[in-house]
Amino acid sequence: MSVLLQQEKKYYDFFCPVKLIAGQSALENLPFELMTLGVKRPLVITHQSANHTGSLALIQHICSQSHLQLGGVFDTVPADSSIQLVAEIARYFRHQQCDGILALGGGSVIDTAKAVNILVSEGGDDLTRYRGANHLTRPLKPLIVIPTTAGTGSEVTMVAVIADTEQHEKLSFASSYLMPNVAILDPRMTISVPPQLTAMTAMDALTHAIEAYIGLAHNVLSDAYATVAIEKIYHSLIPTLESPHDEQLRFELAQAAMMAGIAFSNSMVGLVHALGHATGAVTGLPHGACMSLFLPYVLQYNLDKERNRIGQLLRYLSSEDVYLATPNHERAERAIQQIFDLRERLYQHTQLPRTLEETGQVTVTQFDEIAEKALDDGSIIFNSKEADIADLKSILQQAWGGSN
Amino acid sequence: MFYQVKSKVQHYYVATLLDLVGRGLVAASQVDTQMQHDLAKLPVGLIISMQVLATDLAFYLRVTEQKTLQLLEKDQTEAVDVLIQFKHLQHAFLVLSFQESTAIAFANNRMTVDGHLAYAVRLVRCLNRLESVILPKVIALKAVKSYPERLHTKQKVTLAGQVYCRVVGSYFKRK
Repeated sequence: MSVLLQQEKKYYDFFCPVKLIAGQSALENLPFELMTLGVKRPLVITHQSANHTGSLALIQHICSQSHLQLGGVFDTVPADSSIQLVAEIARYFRHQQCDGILALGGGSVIDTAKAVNILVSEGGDDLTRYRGANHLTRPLKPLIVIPTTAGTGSEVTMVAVIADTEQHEKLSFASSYLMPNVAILDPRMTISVPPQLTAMTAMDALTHAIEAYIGLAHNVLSDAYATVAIEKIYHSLIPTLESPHDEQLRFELAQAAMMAGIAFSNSMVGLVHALGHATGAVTGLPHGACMSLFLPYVLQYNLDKERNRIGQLLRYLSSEDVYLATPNHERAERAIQQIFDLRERLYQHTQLPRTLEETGQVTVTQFDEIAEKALDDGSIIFNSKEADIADLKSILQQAWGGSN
Repeated sequence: MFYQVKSKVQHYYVATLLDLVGRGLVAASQVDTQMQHDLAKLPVGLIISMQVLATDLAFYLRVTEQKTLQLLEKDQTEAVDVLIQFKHLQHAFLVLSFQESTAIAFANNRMTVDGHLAYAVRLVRCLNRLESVILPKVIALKAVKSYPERLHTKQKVTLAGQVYCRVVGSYFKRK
């Protein structure tokens, strides 16, 4: 029996009800989709950068061409949203008598929009009532998402994470009803993403795809999305950094991020994310940077459990010829080396840190706290190999010094 | 007829195992230092429950001031802080008969988790520790992601003996 058949799972579930509209002039479908959903006064939730990049102006122009009036614009969502802000936006939604939501932005904007949708659909302004999983029991108001980064995949996930700044904790909300009705990927939306942010968000997407592929919950459908995402990111990222205004390359990354989102939404993530969440919480290091820092070391850590699966990654991290020419017992190490090499090239282009020390934001004295937090992160359950405190500290040490 | 008999057998099996697991966690929390380390960070008074959806099959635990676990009555009415719920009796049977490990069951979405996720992760670690300690290694290997290398036979037998004695004793304790 082939290696692939031996690895097929006996059971899985898979869910992605989001309508995806992608490619050239995809945004021009927006008025039609809003009308189909019965939305006459959408609230646009976005970040201030949407004004600078012109993406908000483009949305307004497209809507006005179809005589569709926006109900309101809330354009001051920060990088880290809060439940207090969500309540404020919900009040604005009601005041403007809006009947749908348009999220234009990255992960924080999209999560904020999902959370706002809970309040404006269920009523009240206490978001904490809905924290946790499966507390929503009916569809919410229409939500259309237009991502402006190629990373988080939030446009196709059923989770939103919002900070409670008063209690100093992050609240998770998970429900199939949080998924957007429509996600629109238009290459014009990511054309002006700066180089380092392009690299960070792409590494976030790459990690989503790889962890979905090698984790315990992988299945044949999530594998299909994950492998295509890995291939697209690996082959498009450096060319995008070299030609940042190439719409086709930007579109490849946006598609890949979305596909990686579908993959990990169904197959979860693992130890890279457990360490990344913990490191971000303790040090404030951006999520995408954390993913890039830990990915190759966690793959090395997982080698004795997932050698075959990691070896198969070589096919998508290089070419079919390289994969076939590499002896089976060397493929996993070669695949990991491809990631080390990619990180090196990203550093040359964008100065994306290659080691924890290089970030200048982490100290060795924080390792204990990071490891303890990582041990409590839900993602760790889905990593194939068990990890204890000593294992996590060992990975942190490797990521500190940058040994290959 | 066959499905009715099968369902009854599974019901009694899951009821028995859930009860044993609940009592086992309580007992292990009193004697195992590694489990005590995991419980140390849980807040006093935290109520944890493992249940099977739409049945009366469940156990409820409370974290004590000594940071051990206390078994609560099934008809307890306090709000549950961390709930791990099997979606169906058959799913609970798969896990509790060691046909599917806890980690694989999570990966297969056999159960839902509600409440503070970090506390739920700690409970799963305690569950894995309990299974490693009290089950023969050949069975424990099916239940946990990895069998602890540092759990030597002498320590395992001593700890398992203490846990089993306390579990048996818990059936005779006055309420």
